[in-house]
Amino acid sequence: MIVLNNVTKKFGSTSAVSNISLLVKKGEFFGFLGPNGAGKTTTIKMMTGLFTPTSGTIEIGGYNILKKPLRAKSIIGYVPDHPFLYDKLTGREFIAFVGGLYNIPGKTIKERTGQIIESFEIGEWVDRLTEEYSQGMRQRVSLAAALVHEPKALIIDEPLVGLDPRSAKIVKDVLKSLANHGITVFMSTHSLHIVEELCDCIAIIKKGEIIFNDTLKKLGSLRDRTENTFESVFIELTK
Amino acid sequence: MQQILYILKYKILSGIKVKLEYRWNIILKNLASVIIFTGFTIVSYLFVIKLITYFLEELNVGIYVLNRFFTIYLFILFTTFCFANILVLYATLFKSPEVRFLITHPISFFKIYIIKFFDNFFYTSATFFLIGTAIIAGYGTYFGFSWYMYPLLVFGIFIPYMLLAACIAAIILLLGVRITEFISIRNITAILITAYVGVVVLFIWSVSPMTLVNRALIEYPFIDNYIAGFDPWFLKYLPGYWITEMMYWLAQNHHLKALFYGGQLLVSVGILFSITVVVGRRYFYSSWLVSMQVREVVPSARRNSTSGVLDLYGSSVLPRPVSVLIKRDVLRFYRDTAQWTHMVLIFLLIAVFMFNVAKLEITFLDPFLMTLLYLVFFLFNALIIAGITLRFVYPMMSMEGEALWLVRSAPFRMQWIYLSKGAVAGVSLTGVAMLLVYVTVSAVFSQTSLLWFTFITQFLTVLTIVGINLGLGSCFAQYNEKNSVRVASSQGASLTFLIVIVYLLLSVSLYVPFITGYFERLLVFSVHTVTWMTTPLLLSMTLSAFVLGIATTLGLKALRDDV
Repeated sequence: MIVLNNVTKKFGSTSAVSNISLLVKKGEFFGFLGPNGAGKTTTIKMMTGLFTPTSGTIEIGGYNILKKPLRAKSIIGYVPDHPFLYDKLTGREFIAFVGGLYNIPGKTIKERTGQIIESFEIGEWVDRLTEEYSQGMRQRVSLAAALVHEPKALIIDEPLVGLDPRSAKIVKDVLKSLANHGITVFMSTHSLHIVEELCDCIAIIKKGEIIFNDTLKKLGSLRDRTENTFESVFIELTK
Repeated sequence: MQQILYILKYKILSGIKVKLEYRWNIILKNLASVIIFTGFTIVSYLFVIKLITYFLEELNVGIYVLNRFFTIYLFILFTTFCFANILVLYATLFKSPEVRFLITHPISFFKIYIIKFFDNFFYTSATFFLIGTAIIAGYGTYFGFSWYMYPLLVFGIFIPYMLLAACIAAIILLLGVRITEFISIRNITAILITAYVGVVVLFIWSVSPMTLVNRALIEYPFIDNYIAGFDPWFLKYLPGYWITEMMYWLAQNHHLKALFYGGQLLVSVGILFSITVVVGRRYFYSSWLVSMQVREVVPSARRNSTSGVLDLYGSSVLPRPVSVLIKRDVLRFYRDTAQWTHMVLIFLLIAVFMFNVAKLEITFLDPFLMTLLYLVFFLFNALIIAGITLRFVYPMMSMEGEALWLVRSAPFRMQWIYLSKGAVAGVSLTGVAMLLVYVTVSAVFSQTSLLWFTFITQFLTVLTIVGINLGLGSCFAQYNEKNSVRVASSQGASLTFLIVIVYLLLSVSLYVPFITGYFERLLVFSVHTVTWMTTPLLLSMTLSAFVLGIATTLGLKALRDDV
């Protein structure tokens, strides 16, 4: 579903991402880990068309993001690490607006919005302007909007940062349910326990280079071998 | 003081680091800014000299009337600067994340207020400063002022003059915000708008340029006499009057009298600045708390729903992504108090202008004067459109804000977003421009062919001005700035406005020979034809297409950059 082939991104003379390759299969829950400034968000921005790679190719569902950007983007849903919304729109309007951008008919969006509001428990707030929302509400509304066009792959950057336990649980449940329904989830995160709980495969990026790319089981065997926690394995790898 | 300097040091450091970033487009942008700003000042300076020469040597209106024209101009500049300062200072003092950051640290509220007051003053004053410098330099050159008078007048008189407007703005703002506890912010905004329009209208009405000329003509041929007895009583209390009186006496080599008026201005600045300091010390923090309270309380009492044409679920004749983009922009516009109140204010001023022009009774029998009058109307209408465009169209792309990720990651061509914004702005502004043309041109000129010529050329002008603003607004987009007023008063916006002025001057210079020829044939030979229009229209179309093409290419290219 998602293929990154020798992708590099340079800003001036600085390489943010160096020659990375990744393969995320259909229906896989993929965790993308790395310390701060390792290149996670840059990689995600290239996958979603916000940055142009300096070299290498990215394919989403078989479509090259540079050559067929509209096709590629139509099958992904994206939620950034800081989901800025339009202050002067309500949550419901925001969801309708995003649906419109993906060319979904109004009637269909209306039906889907009803279901989404229920699963994300945002009914009480959805008709208020988003400028009044807390971080958790913003995260829930932007995730809800990213799903309104029923994407085949969801790319989500640090989904649980700043969420209260209830919001975090709702988001985790939704992500689990998506994966169970065969939707590919590509998630960047710092939370190792979330990776442990949700992911099938993981990649760890350090200073723009992939230093681990395998199944969670494989990382688990490393942990068992060293009789350590996930946290200490991660710290050891990214030292 | 040490703390203020410490904070300023870091503010300057961060500013310098941004400006010194080594990237070609930034270097080119800064270079272009310098060229355009310098060019604008030089052209304005030459224009002022030409204007003075024309008024004094061709029209023979006399120094008194000339100075009163400058008084009127300075008054409008003063009130506009004051009003602009209220708007931008509101964003700077009450909505800025920097203030929120500083307020949580052990820094006195008063110091924060002073830092932001001057921050705002320098941010908004660049264009006004250039205009003032050009007027002073042009006036001084014509009347042969000594070299040392120029820096003295610019830094010792004109900057304090603007500071006076900024002080009044700060006092009105702090007290205005303070009373939002008792009167709603909408009512206060309405009062401010009414006051601003009322003051401008009353002033123009009391110091009517036509009445001035007629009164001065009574003195003919002694038109250079000092005939201040004609002035309305309140005029001598206005700072713009002090400046023009000072310039008048300097031109007459009466330095003592000039010093008297300059002194009045400086004393007033001293008093007003002291009041600003006292008001700031006493009310800044309490006003800030009130503004936070108002922002927190008001929206939660309101629930929002849309229906009809703005319903985002509704269908439309346009492609769905385009229609939701337009609806989103309209919804955001009318829910933002700053946006619609400015729109109302601008339309009130336009209505006042049209009402006054419609009453004009001017008849010239000289082709040159007819051409001059026609071009004055043409330029004035175009400048009104340029002002509205700068305020509302230039910030359009920046207003996509930090939510740009959403549109950029959607399966959506960025050209659509650009064109949808351009189409909405173009259609609305064409309507305004056509109304202005109809009222102004038909009020003075009865020739249908001239009216049609103006409709077509103004239409091209509107399209080009919108194109320049949208294109450069995309190139210089500030996605992290939420306040459209601050975007519209940024360095990029000033540069854009100056480019628009250069374009307008080029357009007008293309028309001059053809319009003069037209009036000559009409007035001297009574020949009325329409064939004369072909060449200027073709030239105008070529110029507009060229400028529009460059602006659109730059704008679309900027939208493809990394975000």
